[in-house]
Amino acid sequence: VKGTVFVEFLDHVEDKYGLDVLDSVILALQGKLSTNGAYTSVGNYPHEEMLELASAICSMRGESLESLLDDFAQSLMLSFERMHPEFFDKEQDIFDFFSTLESRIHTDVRKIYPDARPPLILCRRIAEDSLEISYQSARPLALMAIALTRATGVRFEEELEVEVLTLADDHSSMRMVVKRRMATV
Amino acid sequence: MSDISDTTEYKLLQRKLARAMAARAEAESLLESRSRELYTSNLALSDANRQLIVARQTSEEASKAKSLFIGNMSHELLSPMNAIIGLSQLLIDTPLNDKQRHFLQGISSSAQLQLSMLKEVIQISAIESGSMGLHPRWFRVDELIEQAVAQIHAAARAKGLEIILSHVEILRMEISADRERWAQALQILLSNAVKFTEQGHVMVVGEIQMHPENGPVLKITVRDTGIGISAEEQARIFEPFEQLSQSVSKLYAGAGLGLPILRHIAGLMGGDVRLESTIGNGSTFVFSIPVTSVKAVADVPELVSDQALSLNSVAVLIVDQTPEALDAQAALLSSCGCKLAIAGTASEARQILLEAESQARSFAAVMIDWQTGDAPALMQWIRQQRPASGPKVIGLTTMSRQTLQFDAEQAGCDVLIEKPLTWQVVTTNLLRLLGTDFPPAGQELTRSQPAVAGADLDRDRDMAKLRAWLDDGNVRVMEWVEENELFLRRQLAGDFYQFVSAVKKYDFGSAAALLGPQLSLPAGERS
Repeated sequence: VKGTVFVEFLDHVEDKYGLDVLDSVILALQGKLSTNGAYTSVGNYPHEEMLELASAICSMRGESLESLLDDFAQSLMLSFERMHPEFFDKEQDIFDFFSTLESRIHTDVRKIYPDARPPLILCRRIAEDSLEISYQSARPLALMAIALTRATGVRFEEELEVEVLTLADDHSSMRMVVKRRMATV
Repeated sequence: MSDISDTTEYKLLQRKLARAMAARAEAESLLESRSRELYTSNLALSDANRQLIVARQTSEEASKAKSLFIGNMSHELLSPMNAIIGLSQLLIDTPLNDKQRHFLQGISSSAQLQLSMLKEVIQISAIESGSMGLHPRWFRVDELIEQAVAQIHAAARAKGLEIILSHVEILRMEISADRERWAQALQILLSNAVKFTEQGHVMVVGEIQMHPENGPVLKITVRDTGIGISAEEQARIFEPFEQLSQSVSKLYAGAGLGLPILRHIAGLMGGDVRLESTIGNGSTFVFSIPVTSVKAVADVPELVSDQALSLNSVAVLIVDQTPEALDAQAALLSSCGCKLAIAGTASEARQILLEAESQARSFAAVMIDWQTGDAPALMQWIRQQRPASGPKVIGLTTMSRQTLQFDAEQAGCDVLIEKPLTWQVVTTNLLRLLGTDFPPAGQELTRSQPAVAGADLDRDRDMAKLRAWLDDGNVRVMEWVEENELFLRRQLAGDFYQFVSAVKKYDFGSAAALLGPQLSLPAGERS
């Protein structure tokens, strides 16, 4: 996983729960983190560390993983937009955004970072208000993908209903239907 | 007061700082190693780039050297070929037995083929070395097309192909362009069409299009009914040294350089050449060239403009079994102001003539294609119906006039014209034939008569002089022909080239025959 995601995650935890929480999580995971919690945005780190950090925070705060990821996804979306405004067109339809994510964003990501392995996101419009999205990744980050999907809805100011159809045990693949509330005239 | 370093907050911040510093150190070392990687790959790229530049220079120099060599060698390559061809020709004209003559003809035609291929190779070299330029001068487009057609005429006739000129008369204009390159382009288009067509016809269509930015664009379309070119081959055909498929190239000799040269000429002139074709359905090549300097032919003092005027409203019936030829001839005669009727068969023509007679109308002339079924019978029928005052009968043929002359006269044909029809040939022949005994519509007659009569006096005086020279075997006759080329072209129309070639061979008898018997009469004796 790109270091920038780790840096964003730690910043988010510090902002939301305070430096003491972040510090104690890192101390508690002593020996399990490759750099003892010192991450740089230009590095690459094992995804297992992200999962370790998230689950440690959840158990320490008694918070669900889903709500932690939802919160983090929203702040990550803001960072993405700050770093790559060209990918975020306010006028764009949210379903178009999802549908072109693979061809537009991931293609560019692969060009900029030849070592990056972004997930494969494929979309199929199944109704006027529903989009089926499938996620396949080399990493077990399906829950993060679901959270990012919801965060995208927030970013586009759309009320989205996300229904997960299938989720692989190892969280490396997932299918979901995203339904949006259509504007009523 | 407790030591600040003992507080929890201090320790938290200290650990955060330590993590930040560790992260920074890692980032710096990552950046350092990436910079090194970039530097190394940059070095490798520069090296590869240098090698590529050297390789390109080497290959460009080699290609230039090759082209330069061939360019320098062109004289050495062509001179022996010209000698072989010239000497073979001289030898053929000496007393020989049939076998010897046959062998010599083989040598001569092979040498001709070799020469044309050598010229193509030399030209491709000139193109590749960038030494082919344009040398503009004024010339008439329609005349150039007619000359190109005249050159290919024998080959077409030998295969029984008809060459149809359609709307070429609209290109009766002078343009300032490279005449040699234009001539070559036309020659390539026409010889390709004839080469790859076994039966049917080759049609040359003239067109002028107004381009919104580039002004007038001349389009010469050459359409044949030949073997056609597959889509795959169309993609390669304009590339040098790419002939059609092996099986086809075995049948048709050639270096396959004509079309690449054609494309280059078109490009050099700011135009293009396009190809449409399907296997078995013939090919259409469109040569489009923008022209900047155009002069209307009216700027040139031309007797024919008066002649065309006096053909106004003359009723002509055209009979031809080939619809394309019929259309082309109709367009040509319309442009002369004639009133037309057309027929595709002899029986259709008979009906039209009978119908006209029943309505007390008459045709001044009937032009009949000799190859149309029952053409001789139709001619005889017209003669029998109205022996004296009936329409003049003009025979059209793709064959040689000499071959058919006797049959045509027997059938009652007033004049036999070799196809393809050109504006010049049609107007000259129609006017010569209809002459004074066919008064055209009244107003035109009074206006055009003095000009035509005056010109006729000059013409007869000059032609009488020419005939006298030919009869005397005066070798200065060629000089006279060159000085009076325009005049002679007008008088002799389609016969001009035959006339010139006869004079060049000192065959003054044939040349004199081409002047036509009526031209020998002094002006005063003409009716």
